[in-house]
Amino acid sequence: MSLTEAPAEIKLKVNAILSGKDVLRRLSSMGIHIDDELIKLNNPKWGPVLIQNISNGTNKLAIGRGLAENILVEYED
Amino acid sequence: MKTKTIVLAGQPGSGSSTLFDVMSDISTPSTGVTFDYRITEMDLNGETVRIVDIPGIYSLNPNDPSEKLAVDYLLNNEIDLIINVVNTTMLARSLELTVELLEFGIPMVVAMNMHDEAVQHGLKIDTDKLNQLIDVPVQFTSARYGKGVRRLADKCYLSLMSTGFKPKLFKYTHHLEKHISGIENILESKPNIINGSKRFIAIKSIENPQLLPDDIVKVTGHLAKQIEEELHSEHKMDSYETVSYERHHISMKLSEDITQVVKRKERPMSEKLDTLLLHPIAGYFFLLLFFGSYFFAIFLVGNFLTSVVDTPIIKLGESFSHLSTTQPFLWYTLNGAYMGLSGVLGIVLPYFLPLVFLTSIFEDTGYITRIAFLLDGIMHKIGLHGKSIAPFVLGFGCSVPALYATRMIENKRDRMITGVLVPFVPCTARIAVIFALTAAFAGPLWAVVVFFFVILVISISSKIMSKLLTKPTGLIMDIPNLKLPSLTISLKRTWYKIKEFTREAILFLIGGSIVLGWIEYFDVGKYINIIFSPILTYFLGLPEQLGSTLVFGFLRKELIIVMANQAMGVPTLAQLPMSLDQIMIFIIFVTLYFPCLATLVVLWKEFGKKTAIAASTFSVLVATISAFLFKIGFMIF
Repeated sequence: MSLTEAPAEIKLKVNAILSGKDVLRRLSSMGIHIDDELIKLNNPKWGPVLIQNISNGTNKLAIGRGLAENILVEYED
Repeated sequence: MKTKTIVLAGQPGSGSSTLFDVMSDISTPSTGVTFDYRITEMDLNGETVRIVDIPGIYSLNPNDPSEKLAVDYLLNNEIDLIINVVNTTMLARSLELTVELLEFGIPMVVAMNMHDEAVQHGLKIDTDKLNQLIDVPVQFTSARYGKGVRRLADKCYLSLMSTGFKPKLFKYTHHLEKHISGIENILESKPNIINGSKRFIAIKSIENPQLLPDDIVKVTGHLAKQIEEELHSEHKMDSYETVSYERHHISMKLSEDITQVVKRKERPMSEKLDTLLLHPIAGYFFLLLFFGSYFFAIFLVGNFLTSVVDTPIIKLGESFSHLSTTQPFLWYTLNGAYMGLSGVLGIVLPYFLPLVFLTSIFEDTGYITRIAFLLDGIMHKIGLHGKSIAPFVLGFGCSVPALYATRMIENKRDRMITGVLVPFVPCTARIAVIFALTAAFAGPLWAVVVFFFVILVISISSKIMSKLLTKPTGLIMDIPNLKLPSLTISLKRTWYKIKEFTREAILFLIGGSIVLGWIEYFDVGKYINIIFSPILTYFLGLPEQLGSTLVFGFLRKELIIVMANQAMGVPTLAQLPMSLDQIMIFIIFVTLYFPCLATLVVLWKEFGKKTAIAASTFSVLVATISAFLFKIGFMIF
């Protein structure tokens, strides 16, 4: 499922990032990689998705809706 | 002896600028976030060293102009020591840069900053272990409170005094190491064209050859291409991704080795507050409340300070009034200087003081990224995204740092649109003009009308420009933890900015006012006024005498109010022989017309000649149309 569809407040794992090289590089430099564990903090109808990458630390990251649709995640046991 | 150079390098939000402020004791201007180099000198155990603060970088592979500037500095300048400022609350990600800087090979000290916050979030970090693992001095700091900074300085001194920097270098997986060695072998000796160890250059040849000078790529390019093809066929990943993923795993491992998560008693207060500030409904309520109280406080304090200084200023003016008949030239000169001085002390400073202080406090808290988050959806409607909000908000302070702030927007198109529109946001000087004129004539409600109108102008212009250009990329933005602002740092920043402003402005304002006094004495103003009269008088219905004030407004926008008094020959703004309609038309025109000299220079530098000229012409057009619309509006209602 995409990050926009995923439920909030549940541990998720990044499965794939379906985007061009530039976006992939930007996401990777800002700490989003495949296999990272994250928690979605909001479930908005519009506007960006707020996540906390628990693999990295305590800061939050805002990801625009269009981009979030291209980040595929799964439930982490 | 040669002055040694220490560079502060950290990821955005690591607190390297605050550390710089504390180390240099605020001797250079600071906006809290660095978009350009800042350089100062400090005494380190009796030796003078140069400290350089560069913009934040996520890695040594720049993604936006601001990061490019920082990486260029690291690659091309003589550096004796790097202080790697690590955001302890974002350890795994921050250590990726640390690992890369170790490869870079310049002597280094690690400052584990924001230690207090990490403790609050239940993180227990073992610095001794990190020191053993990377073989580089490590020091906890909480730069905001000055904690650990003295010890950090001592460690820097010891590192500068010692020779032979030999940090622990982390090995990549076997297949990648084989390729790195292969390139190291063909490089023979370390190229001296740029900084960086031979290993660093070999890794960059594989990972990101665009970063390297042509002379190196000529030698390594052929092999790097073969490696790229091999990695792609074997692992279905490009070289950049491969190196980046391996570095990521190294830093994750490091972070796990030195971090222990302890159970917290309860959620920190800042987290509870953040839930409210980012809430899809309550968040907007707080946003409105914030902007409302921000501007109301400036208006209130500004008005109070103006009333305090008014009487002595009027008395000073009366002290030389007898010269007007006996020695008219001297009187025009003195009166010009007096008008300038009273403009600085009586009109501009009273509003500037609360604005600078509150902006500094506000920047420190990290609320600006919450605004960007909340407004991202709305910004999309006008063809931009949330990141453009930061330059717009900073524009309320001054357009110059706001234009520099556009460097954090990685997409060229978004950056250009934001850059062209930033000068429309009323800066401190124009806010002083707006507040002073509305306070004298109409009341604060009309100031609100002006602000809403400016937002409308920016929205429509942005929508039009974005329709003409390609689609924007999405938002990816860090939301750092909320912080309690430091009163001491904000007071110091305010003091510095006021000092800097007074030094620059007094010369411009008093000098400008004297020149205007002479223009009046020699009756030259009428020629300047004639040039502006087609727009001002015939089109907008304003007094012709205001034409010359616009020329001075180009030097500094706040000159407009001082010069308006001078040009119309009245001692206070309230006595200007103008109606409410005319005042509002004038405010709208001066708020939007042509950027000031400093802004024009930065526009030119950052975006090129064509954009600077186009943006300036566009602003005059927008100002004229907007003021005309107000005129029509007043005629109808």
